[in-house]
Amino acid sequence: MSSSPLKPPSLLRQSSLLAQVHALIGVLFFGLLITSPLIAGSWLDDFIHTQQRVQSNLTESMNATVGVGEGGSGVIVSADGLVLTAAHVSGSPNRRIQCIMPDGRRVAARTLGRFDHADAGMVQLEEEGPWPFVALASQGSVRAGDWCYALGHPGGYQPERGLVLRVGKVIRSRSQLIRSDCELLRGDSGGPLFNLQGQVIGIHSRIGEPMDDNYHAPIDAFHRTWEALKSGEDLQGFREDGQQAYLGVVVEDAEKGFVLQEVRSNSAAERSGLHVGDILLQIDDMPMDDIEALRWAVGSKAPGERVKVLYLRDGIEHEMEIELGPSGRRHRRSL
Amino acid sequence: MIRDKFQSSLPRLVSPTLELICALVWGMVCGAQEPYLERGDRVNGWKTRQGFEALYQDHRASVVEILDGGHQVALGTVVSDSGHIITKASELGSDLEIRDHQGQRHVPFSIQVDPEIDLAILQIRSSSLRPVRWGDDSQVAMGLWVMAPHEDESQVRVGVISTSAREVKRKPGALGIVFFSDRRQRDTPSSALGARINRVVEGGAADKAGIKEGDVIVQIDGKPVQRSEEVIELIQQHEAGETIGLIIIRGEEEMSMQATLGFFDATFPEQDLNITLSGDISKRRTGFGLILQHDMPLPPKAMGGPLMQFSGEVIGINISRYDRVATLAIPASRVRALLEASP
Repeated sequence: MSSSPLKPPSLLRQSSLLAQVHALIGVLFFGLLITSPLIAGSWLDDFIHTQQRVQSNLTESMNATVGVGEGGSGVIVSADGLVLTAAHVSGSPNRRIQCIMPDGRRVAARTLGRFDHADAGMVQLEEEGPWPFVALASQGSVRAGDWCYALGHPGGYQPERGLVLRVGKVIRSRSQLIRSDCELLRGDSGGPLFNLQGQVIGIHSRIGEPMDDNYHAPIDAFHRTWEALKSGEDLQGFREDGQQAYLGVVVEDAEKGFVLQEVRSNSAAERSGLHVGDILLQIDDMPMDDIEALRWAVGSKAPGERVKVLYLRDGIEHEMEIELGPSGRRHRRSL
Repeated sequence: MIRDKFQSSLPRLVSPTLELICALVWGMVCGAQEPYLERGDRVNGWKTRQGFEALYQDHRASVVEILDGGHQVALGTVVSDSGHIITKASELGSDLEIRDHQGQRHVPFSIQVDPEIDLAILQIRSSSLRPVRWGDDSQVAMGLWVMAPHEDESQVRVGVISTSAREVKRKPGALGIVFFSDRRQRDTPSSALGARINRVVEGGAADKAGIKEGDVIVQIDGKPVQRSEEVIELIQQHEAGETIGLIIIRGEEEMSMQATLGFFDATFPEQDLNITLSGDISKRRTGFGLILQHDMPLPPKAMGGPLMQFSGEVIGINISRYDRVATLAIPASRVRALLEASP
C-alpha cells in the first residue's frame, strides 16, 4: 500500500498496542509519530507524484465523463458508447434519456439495467461511435488508502463551469460500497471515481453530512453484474442474480428482535415450524436489531440456502436451521 | 432508531446512518477487521496536515484573523510591509480588530472596499507582519495542489484546483418576501392596487424593515407596481447590500419604508438543495469576476486568507465558501491590480 504519506494504518494499530504494553515504548512511538512528517520527506513526494498522475490522465478522463438525464453524471467505458452511472440516475431500464457530452452536445441514449443495492446502472448512447472512453479497474484492485480522483457535475451540468475535479483517498473498499474523502454533491451522482492509472474504480452514489462521507458504487459490483446490466435487467434487492430468498413471514417490532405477525402458508417459515408470536432474535448469529439487518440476513441468500435462526417462544430461546424458499410477494416487512 | 434508513427508503445522497448499518451488518458477517483509512491519514487528516503545517510555518506571519466585535469573521492576508491587509469585505462589521499570528490585536485605521470583487483593504500599524510572496496564476491548471489556512490561522488544509478559471454570475439581492405562486390566490380584489405579500422570511430584509405578511406593495423606488412580477423584476435589478424604498398599504394605512436587500442564498437557503447539504457557506457566494475554484473544505471564516502553492507562493485570495465541493478564490493578478490601483 503506497498510500499513506506517513505509515500504513495497520502499523499504527500495532504500535498503539505496544504503547499499552509498555509506557516507555509508547512515549518513544508518540515522539516518532509527531516528528515523522518532518523527517519522512516522502509524504510530499507522494503528493507531487499524485498530482502528476492525475494531471496526465485528466484530459482522457474528462473526455469520457458525461452528464446523464436530468442532473446526473456518468462515464463512457466503451468505444460504442456504453455509459456507467448510478442506478438512481439511470432509473428503470429501457427509457429514452439524453446524455451531455463535455462540449455541451446532447446525445440520445437509452437506459439499460440497474443493480439497486449497489446503486449501479448502465446507459447506452444511441449515436454511433467511436466515443472517447476510459478503462475499468480490475476486480478486487481497490484498497483503503489508495489515492483517487472524482469527476462530475455537482449541482448539475453548467456549461460555463464544466466538470469539477476532486482528489482524495479511498477510506473503505467493500464489495457493495466504496467510501472516499472526495467531496460529492447532488449532480455528481453517476460520475466516475478514478485510480491514479485513470481507470474507473467507482461511480458516485450518495453522501452523509460529514465531508468525509462520500459513497461510490464499486466497479466490482459492475463487473459482477455486467451481463445482466447490459441486457437491461432490473436487479432489485441485495442479490446480483436477482434470486432473493424468502422466509415467508410478516414481522413487527418487538422490544428485542421481531415478532412474527403472520406466517405464510407453504413458506420456508411454515415448513420449519415457526409460529405467529415467535420472536426472531438472531439469524446466522447476527442480532436482529433493525429491519435492514433482517432484510439483509434473508434477502442476501439464495433460495435453498440454509440459515441458523435463534428465536424466542414463550420466553424460551430456541435455535434451528431453516432452508429458505424462493421469492414471494414483495413487501418491506415480508421476508 | 436506525430503522428504515437504508437503501430503498433513503433519499439518495443523504445517508448519515448508512455506514453504521453497513459496519454493523458487515462486522457480524465477517467478524474480522477490514482495512480502513484512519481519519488522521486522510487527505485533510491531522497526520497529513502536520507535514503541510510545517511547510506553512514560514508563511504564518502573512496571515491574520479579522475580528468584529471580538469574534472572528474572516482571515486577512498581509500584502505590504506597511500594514496593508486584504480580506473579504462582505463579512466585515463596524467594530473591527486584527489579530496577528502572535496574538496581538490591532485596530485598522483605514478601510477601502471594492464591492465588485468583495475585497477590503485594511491598514494597521505593525512591524511584525510580513507580506506574502505572489505567484503566477496564469499557469494554474486543474489538478494543481494548493493549501490555505483554516479558520484557525495556525491550521492548514490542502486540496486541488478543480475547474478552469471562470466567472460565477452574481445573484441579485433578496427582499425576503414570498408571493403565492397560484395566480388566483394572489390577485384577490383587496390587492387590486398592488402586490400582496403572502410570507415574510424571518430575519430577511423585509422583516428587518418592518414589513408584514398581508402588506400590499404599491411602489418601489418611486415606480408604481400592481403585480408581483413587477415587484420581482424591480428587486432583481438590485444587489445585496443596496437599499430600496417601498410604499406599502397595511389595512387603510399607507406606509413608506426602506429595506436593505440581503443575500439571496442566505435568505432562501431552501431554494438550492445543495446548500442544505453543504454545511456552513459564505453569505455572499457569487459575482467576483474571474475566480479560481478548489476543493478544500474551508469554513466561511477562513475566507480572506491566501490560496498558496506548496512553495508558499500565493496564487489567490479565498473569497467564497460556495458549497460542499467548492471554495472560490480571486486570482492573485486581479488582487494585485486592485492594490496597484489603490492609493
